[in-house]
Amino acid sequence: MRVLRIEEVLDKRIVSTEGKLIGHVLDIQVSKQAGKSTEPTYTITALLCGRYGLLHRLHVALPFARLLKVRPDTQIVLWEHVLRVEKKAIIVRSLPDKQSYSVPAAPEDE
Amino acid sequence: MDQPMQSEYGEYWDNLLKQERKLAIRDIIDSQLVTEDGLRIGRVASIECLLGDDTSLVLLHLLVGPEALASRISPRLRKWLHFFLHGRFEYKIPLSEVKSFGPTLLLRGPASHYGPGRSEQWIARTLFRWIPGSGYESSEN
Repeated sequence: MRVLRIEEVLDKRIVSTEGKLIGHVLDIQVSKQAGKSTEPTYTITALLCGRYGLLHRLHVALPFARLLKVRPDTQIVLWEHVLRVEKKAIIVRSLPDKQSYSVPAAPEDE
Repeated sequence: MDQPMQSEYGEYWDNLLKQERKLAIRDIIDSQLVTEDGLRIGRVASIECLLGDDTSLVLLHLLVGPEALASRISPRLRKWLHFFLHGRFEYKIPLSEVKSFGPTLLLRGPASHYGPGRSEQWIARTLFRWIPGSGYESSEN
């Protein structure tokens, strides 16, 4: 176990164990979970990357999509695929394609 | 150019809206912290996390202060600032203290419970009280 700061994850490269670049972390999804005690815990569930991840980070993905009638698909890498966090990259397990890193039925926030 | 079917667009917008509604780091970082008594005590400069042995990452504390902000710009800059400030202006607020997330992060306690609020009170008590028209005495009564 180690304590790290969020900037050690943000903007990092996401690389598979085969050395293939998946993308850069542009935003991170957080899930609120009610623990055994009354205090909730906030766990990181997914990393957002891809060309349009930056739009999500800047809160403009939805207006951008509406205005220009485009589909800013953001790639999601579920945290469960992450094997380790290194100094310069986040290592994820190798999957056949980029779509495999996201799961359609993501758990809902409370 | 292939035009998606209506149902596909509907599903796409649903997914996009769902994604927008999910809590993300963008909703926390740089957000204004507001205490129960309505005082603004600073902005979230960084977040401290605990990386477990099973690679689970749990958010622990919100960090407020110049050192935490400097570490986002450059780790080297943070080392320099730490050399001068020794962490005196860095404050940690447990994430469990956050009552609600939104345009601002509403905290459960009053400003006196948190470090940044206390330092502002100290400045008001020791410096601003001497400025004519500060209203220090009237606020005491």
